[in-house]
Amino acid sequence: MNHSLGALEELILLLILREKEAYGAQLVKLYIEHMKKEITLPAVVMVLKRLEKKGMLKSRTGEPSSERGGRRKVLYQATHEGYEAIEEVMKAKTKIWDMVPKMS
Amino acid sequence: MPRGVAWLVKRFCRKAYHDEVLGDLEELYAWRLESYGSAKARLRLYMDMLSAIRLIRIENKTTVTLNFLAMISLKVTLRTFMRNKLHTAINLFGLACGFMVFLAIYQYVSFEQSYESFNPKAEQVYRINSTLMKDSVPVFKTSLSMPPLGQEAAANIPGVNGYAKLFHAGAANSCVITLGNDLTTSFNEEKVMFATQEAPAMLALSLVEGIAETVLDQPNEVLISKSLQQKYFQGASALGRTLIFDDDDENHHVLTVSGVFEDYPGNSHLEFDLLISFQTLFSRDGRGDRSARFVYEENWDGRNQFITYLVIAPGTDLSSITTSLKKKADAAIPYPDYTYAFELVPVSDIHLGEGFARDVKAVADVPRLRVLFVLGVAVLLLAWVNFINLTTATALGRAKETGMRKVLGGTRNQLVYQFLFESLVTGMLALSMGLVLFYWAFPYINEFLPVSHQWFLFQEWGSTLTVLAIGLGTSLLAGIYPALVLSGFKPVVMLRGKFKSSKKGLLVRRTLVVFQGAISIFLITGLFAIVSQVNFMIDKHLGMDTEQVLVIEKPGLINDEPGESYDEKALFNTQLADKPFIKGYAVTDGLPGSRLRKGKDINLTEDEDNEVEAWAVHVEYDYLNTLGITMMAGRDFVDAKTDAQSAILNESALHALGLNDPMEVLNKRIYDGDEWLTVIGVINDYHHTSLKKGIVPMLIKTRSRGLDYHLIKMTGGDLVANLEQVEAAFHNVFPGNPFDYYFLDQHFIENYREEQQFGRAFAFFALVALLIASVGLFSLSTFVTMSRLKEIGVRKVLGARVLSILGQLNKEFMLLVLVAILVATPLSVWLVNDWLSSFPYRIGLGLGFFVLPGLSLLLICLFSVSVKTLAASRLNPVKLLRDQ
Repeated sequence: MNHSLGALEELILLLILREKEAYGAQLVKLYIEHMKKEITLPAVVMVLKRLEKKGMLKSRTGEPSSERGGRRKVLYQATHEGYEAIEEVMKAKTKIWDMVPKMS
Repeated sequence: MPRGVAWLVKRFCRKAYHDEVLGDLEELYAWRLESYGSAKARLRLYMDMLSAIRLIRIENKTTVTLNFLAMISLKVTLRTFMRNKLHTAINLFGLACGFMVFLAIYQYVSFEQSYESFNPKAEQVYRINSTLMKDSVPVFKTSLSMPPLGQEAAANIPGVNGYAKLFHAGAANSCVITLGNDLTTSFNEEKVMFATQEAPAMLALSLVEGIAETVLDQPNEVLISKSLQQKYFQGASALGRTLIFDDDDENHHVLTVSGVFEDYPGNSHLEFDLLISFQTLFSRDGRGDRSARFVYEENWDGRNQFITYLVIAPGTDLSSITTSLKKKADAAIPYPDYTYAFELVPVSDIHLGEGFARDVKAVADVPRLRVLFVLGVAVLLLAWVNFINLTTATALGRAKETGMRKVLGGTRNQLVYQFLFESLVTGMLALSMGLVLFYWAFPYINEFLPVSHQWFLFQEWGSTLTVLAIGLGTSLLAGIYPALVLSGFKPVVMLRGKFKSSKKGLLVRRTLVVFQGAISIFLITGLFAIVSQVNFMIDKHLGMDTEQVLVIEKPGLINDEPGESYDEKALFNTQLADKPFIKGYAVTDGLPGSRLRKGKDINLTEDEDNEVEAWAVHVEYDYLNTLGITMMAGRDFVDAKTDAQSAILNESALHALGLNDPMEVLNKRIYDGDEWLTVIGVINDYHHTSLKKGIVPMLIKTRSRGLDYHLIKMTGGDLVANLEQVEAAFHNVFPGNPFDYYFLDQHFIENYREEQQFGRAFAFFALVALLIASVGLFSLSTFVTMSRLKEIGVRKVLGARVLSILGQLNKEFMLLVLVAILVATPLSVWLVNDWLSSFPYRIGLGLGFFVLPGLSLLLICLFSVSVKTLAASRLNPVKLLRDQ
């Protein structure tokens, strides 16, 4: 199984871990809120599907709601593999970041 | 969320994800609508939609590979473009111009054909045309009908599901609308109609304010258009406001606004700004012992002055309806031998059908539409021919590339694909450039090909697809020749660097050049003819002096004391008489430059066989002097009272009566169908109507009532100050009326507006066509010259002079253009002559028409060809020969 993570995959996975459970539109809003820039929904959906295929996410179908035109949402949760993969990356990154000399 | 977005996203996305993705999109769109506003939310939605294309394949890859073949083709295409920058630009520009013209004309023609299409009920709504017959010979035909037809049909004839009746107040009268809350503000309105309650629904009026079911169901209710709402109330709600209606027949209504409608679409045979409820008419004074309701609603012997529409259930036999109406109508005619014939016209056919004198809007000029459409197609063809020519020429220059591809194992299919792909890219680029050009040129184009709004054509899927299909077809067809022919050559031949252009290919290209030349000739000749004919008509002396003659139409609001009639004209005359800059004042019921309306049969004897058809004009005061019309013999009227039984004839009437010497008719008695008059004078002929009509026999009489136009002749000096004085006098005499005026010479020129528009359209097309042709010739000559560079070098070394080389190079093109001129000139002159023959006063077709268009085309071509050939023939031969 491929355990490498792209930059966007990493971010989406992190957001899902923070929210415990999240769906596409919600993630777009979160992305805009945190990153202060726009993203298209299909970009997010693609990442979600890819992560699910890698076994880092699992999904369940939610209740239909009227604001979605009566369509069901699909909610994603991180799996253990997902958690571990992100933990590994974050640890490595934090370690490197700690060694970066501070610029004033 | 727009439905198209969901549809497209579904195409991109696998089915299992539909609910999730669409739901997310919906939610995001709603959220963005709230936080960004609709424009930005929509933009983001479209971006989401486009980006959904990546959902086609969801894999462990971040890059989506494009189709390999397409990538290569695109690359090669772009390289070819870059290599021949100038050539590509020219090719694109020419085709784009062609597309622009085609779009403009296609839009105009489809606009003219779209009349009434906004009305969902149009298929079932029919207008009644009436024809009065005497002994089964039509006496007159009109689009109007007598009062009771509509309700008779709706009440008693099966299959008729309703009717609407309109009465055009503004056609016969000047209407003045005064605002109820501000009695000093008033406006002249022409588009005023009375309409029955069913009319708004039948005409598909879309209401901005008011309740559709009840807007016109009470007397004294009025509907106004949105622009009038803006004009009268500055856009504030108009419901319940009071408008006061006055017309020059002294009708006075106090109206309440019960609704506001979106301005009625331009593609309708009707046009109106105010609709007044029909019952309002019933409050008017009747005629004699007849009530107004009888006059406007019940009189079977009433005047034909109502536009009547019937709603007819599909499949109903129309002739049974007209026959039963005819029975009722015929029974009421008091004279023997006269009968009526009725005709039901579907409203959607009105605009392209037969026109009548009192139509609200003139119907389409179908032959002119055809000419325009043919022109549009011709210009597109021209551009297309160019495109084929140039594409082929470039392809020929790419022999080496093609050969190399073949040697390296490129299959024929790949080559065909490549050529087609390239011309497709060029074609689509040109189409989008054409759209941009069309967008820029629209304000100009709209002056002579008027449509209701800019992107009219793209409101419908059908025409949008047609445009796309034409774009696609054009580009693919242009690519087919090089694709099929060039890919078939043997690589060995091609690698030598030259295609042997076949005799057939050469012939095709030559024919195309001749074709271009021919179209250009036709356009230039047509342009010459139209422009000189219009100028001829504007400049021709009319037999009278229309300059500086002010026209004021009879004001709508006459505040006479009840029961007392007071002659405002006389007062106006005295008020004007003491102003030094006024040279003359007259009142008439037949405005020069408009149609003559009062037909009279004049007769010197009592024998009916000697009747001569003539047209009458009634005048008062100084008519002849004001307009500078000269007398042949006799005298002018003294005043309306003294000369109540006098008449003045024009020269044509004299001749029509079979006389030559005016003295023979002077002081004779003449019968005009109603009374015996004494002929007191004969005037020289003058053009009372536009020069599109011949001079007819005229009878001028004088009287003091029913005169609608005030003519004021002024002399030079300060026009603005003079107008102010006239305006002051006008307000003195006609208080409460807006001062609207125009000049008589302008009014005359208005008659030629159609021809002027046609001329401008022609000028525009001719210009574009010439541009395309010369650009094409330039480009073609470049290729030919390039392929003959070596030959030029050798010739120069052997002592040929620049001029002879230039001659050699230009000869072929000039010969082709000459052939085009020889073929097209007689044909064009013939067509132009045909067009001119509809004018009674027309220009002669001099030698100029045969020579000038050809000469100018020849010059233009010589210039465009020589740009390149001249440069080539002056090159240093050493340079030319050193290549290779």
